[in-house]
Order: sequence, then C-alpha cells, then structure tokens
Amino acid sequence: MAKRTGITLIFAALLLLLCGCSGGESQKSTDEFFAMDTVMDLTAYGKNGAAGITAAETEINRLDALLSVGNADSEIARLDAGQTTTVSEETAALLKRALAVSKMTDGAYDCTVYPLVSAWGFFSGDYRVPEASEIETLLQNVGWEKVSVDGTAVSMPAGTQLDLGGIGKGYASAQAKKVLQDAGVTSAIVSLGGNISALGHKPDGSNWTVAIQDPADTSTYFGLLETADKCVITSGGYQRYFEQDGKTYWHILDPETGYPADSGILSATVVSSDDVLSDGLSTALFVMGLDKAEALWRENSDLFDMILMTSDRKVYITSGISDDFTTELDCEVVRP
Amino acid sequence: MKTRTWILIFAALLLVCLAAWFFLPKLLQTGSEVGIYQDGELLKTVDLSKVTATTTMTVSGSAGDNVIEISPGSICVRSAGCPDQTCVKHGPLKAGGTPIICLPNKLVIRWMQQAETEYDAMTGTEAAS
Repeated sequence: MAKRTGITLIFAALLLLLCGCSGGESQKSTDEFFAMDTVMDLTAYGKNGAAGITAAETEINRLDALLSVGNADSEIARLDAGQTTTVSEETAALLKRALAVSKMTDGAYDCTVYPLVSAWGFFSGDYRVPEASEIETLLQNVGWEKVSVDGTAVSMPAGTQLDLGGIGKGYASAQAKKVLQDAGVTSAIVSLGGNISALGHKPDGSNWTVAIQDPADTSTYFGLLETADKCVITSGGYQRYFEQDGKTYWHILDPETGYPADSGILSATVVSSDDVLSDGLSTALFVMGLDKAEALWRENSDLFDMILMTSDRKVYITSGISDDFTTELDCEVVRP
Repeated sequence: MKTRTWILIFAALLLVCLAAWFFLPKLLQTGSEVGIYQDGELLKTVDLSKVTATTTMTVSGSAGDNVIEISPGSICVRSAGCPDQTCVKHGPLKAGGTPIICLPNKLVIRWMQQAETEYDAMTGTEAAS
C-alpha cells in the first residue's frame, strides 16, 4: 500500500509539472510612453529588466528635451533661433554624425531640411502645399555644407536651421540600450515609434523576429527578419502624409527639390549595429531610389544591410541578411 | 481501492491536465477585452463579446476629440480632431493586429490580452518623422 501511495505521489507531481511548464518564461518587463512626438515601447527580460526600463525612459525623455525642435529650450531650437552658437559636447558630437551621414548620402539625408518640412506643415500638423516660389526661397537655406562644427561651436548662415529628428530616435535607441546594459540587462527590444532596436538575443538565446510593416496595410507586414543585437529602421511615405486635390504628399522631402521624394521606393529598411546611421540612412535610401541605394550599399556593405520595396511591390534585399529574411513577395538579392 | 480505480483516476487527471496545457494559453490569447488608454492611463476596458448595441465614447486631448465607436465585436475611431487622421485610417482593431494610436492625444486602443504573434516587434508603426 505504501509503495502504491508513493507511485501515486510521483505521478501527481509529474502531472503538476506538465501543467505548469507552459508558464515558465523568463521574467519580462514592459513600458509604453509618449516622447519625441511618437510612442515608445520598451521590453526587457531578466531580474534587472524593470529597473533598466525605468532608467531607459528617463534617458529618452532627457534626449527629447535636449534635441527636440518643438521644445523652445532645447539646444537645437536655441541654435535655430540664433540664441546661441555653442552646444554641449553631446549635441556637438551628434551634429557631427548628422553631417557625416549627410555627406555619406550626398545630401539625400540632410539635417538642414527643417524649414522646408516646417513649411509643408509636417511639424505642426497644419498640412499645406507651399507655393513653388516659397519652396525656391527656402531651398536657398538648405544644405548641410553650410553648417560647420568646431569643438562645441556651431556656425551656419542666418536662415539655415538644423533638425536632428532624422537621427534623433536612432541616437535615443542607442542610448536606451546603453542604459539598459548598464543596469545589467542582456536581453531587450525597444520600439521608438517603429524604430526597432535589439539588445542581445532573446532570453532563450534565439534571434528576435522583426516584422517589416506593409506600406499597403500598416496593420500587417510583408516580411520577417531574424536578427540579434542590431537595429531595424524603416522609412516610408505611408507613415505620415496628407491628401490634397486627389494627390498624396508624404513627409519625406527630397532636399534637392523641396517636394516629397518620389524615387519609386515605397519602404526602405536599414539593418545595422549603428542606430544613428540606420535612422539617417533609411530616410536617405527612400529619397535616393533603388539604383543609388544599391551603389551606396556596395561601397559600405560592412556598415549596413537593407530591404527595399519598390512601387511595383518587388522586394530587394542585400546579401548580408538575405538568409535571415522570409517574404511571400517577389524578392531579389542584391550582391556586392 | 482497486488498481482499476487508480488507473481511471490517473487517466482522468492526465486528460484534464493535457487539455489545460493545450487549450489554456490559446483561450488566454484570444480574449475579447480591449483597453482604452490615454498617456499610459487606462480609461476604460470593454469586453467586445458582451457589447450588444453600438455606442460611442469621446476622449479629449490637445488635438481635439477622438470619437471611439464601440459595436458588437468591434472597436474603431470614427472621427478625430487632428489633421493626421491616422487613428481613423487604421480602421477597426484586428485580432493580433497593431493597436490603434492617436499620437497628438496620446490615445492607445489595444487588446488587454495580446495574441501571440509570429514576431517580437514590427518596424514602421506610427513613426513620426
């Protein structure tokens, strides 16, 4: 009888284990908040996750206050208003990076496009199509070559205005990951308004799966990318736009023409371990179009990979990540 | 007690546990409860499976009003005071789909129990500029 009771207990314990094992995930902490004019979603795993996320939120809010053109007290807003010519070392370093990305992309990303974007109403939300003469006038003040940074001193002609919005979220995700790491987190994924950045691998050691949003239906995706320790940033005209007289105008302007970039790209995704570069490049690739994007990648294939969708819904992916990507669409691999 | 009785009890227990193991997570995933949040604060939860008539709820913010339409099994933003209309264009909240977000009014409408998706994160959602 005692033997039978023993067997019963062992069975009962086994059954309990079987029932309980579906809840055995690693500890997960999440946070959602609004900053930088968009929504931030942070997820971290492990016992330090909650503390890491709190620190990351504080860091993102600090950068929002430091860099936002919408905040009149930010260093960038004060530079643009001509109230100062010197900035903190951190802002100066970021400005130098913005100029470097502008140079690398031959101005397809341009950190001085702010007055134009503003004239189209993309900052205020009061959308309008500016007169051709107004665009012509504003274009005279646009051009990253007009800006120089020497130490912490910034010089640029009156009328030229800077905006780090095109790389600000990339910098924020890089800093958020740094803060999470300092807090002892080894596995985390953040979405800063759709800019995805992963710290390490998933808690079980596997890669993260990042869905690339479908420009035709933003509630779904056109491909899945397996990645780890990298950021995945997508730019597309479908993300912010308005319609007037039957025509669609989106928020990514061609710094050369002053009008929405119309290069035949619907969606440009950059995958890289450099969040700042990825943020600036995704905009630039959308502006420059397929041929120039391919040429730029061939010169810099050690720095980034890309996934482009053209207006005929064909997908182009660079060979560095093509094995990690699945899509049901027609897909061509771009090789060095 | 007879051996046969024990075997029956074990078999029954095993079946119950296996059923719970297979079906419980799926039941939890496909909840019908939706949360309406503003600036991180939960304003209201709605169980869409228990809605019998169409009603509206208005949420105000710096960009004017969002009129949320709650109907049997469905929720969407019917109108919004901002120029973007992103939340209106989003359409109804789909099972396992992206949340409805109004950036200017910091409004988020999402499933209380997020369904298991094939991915960990999606790019491009609600990117600002």
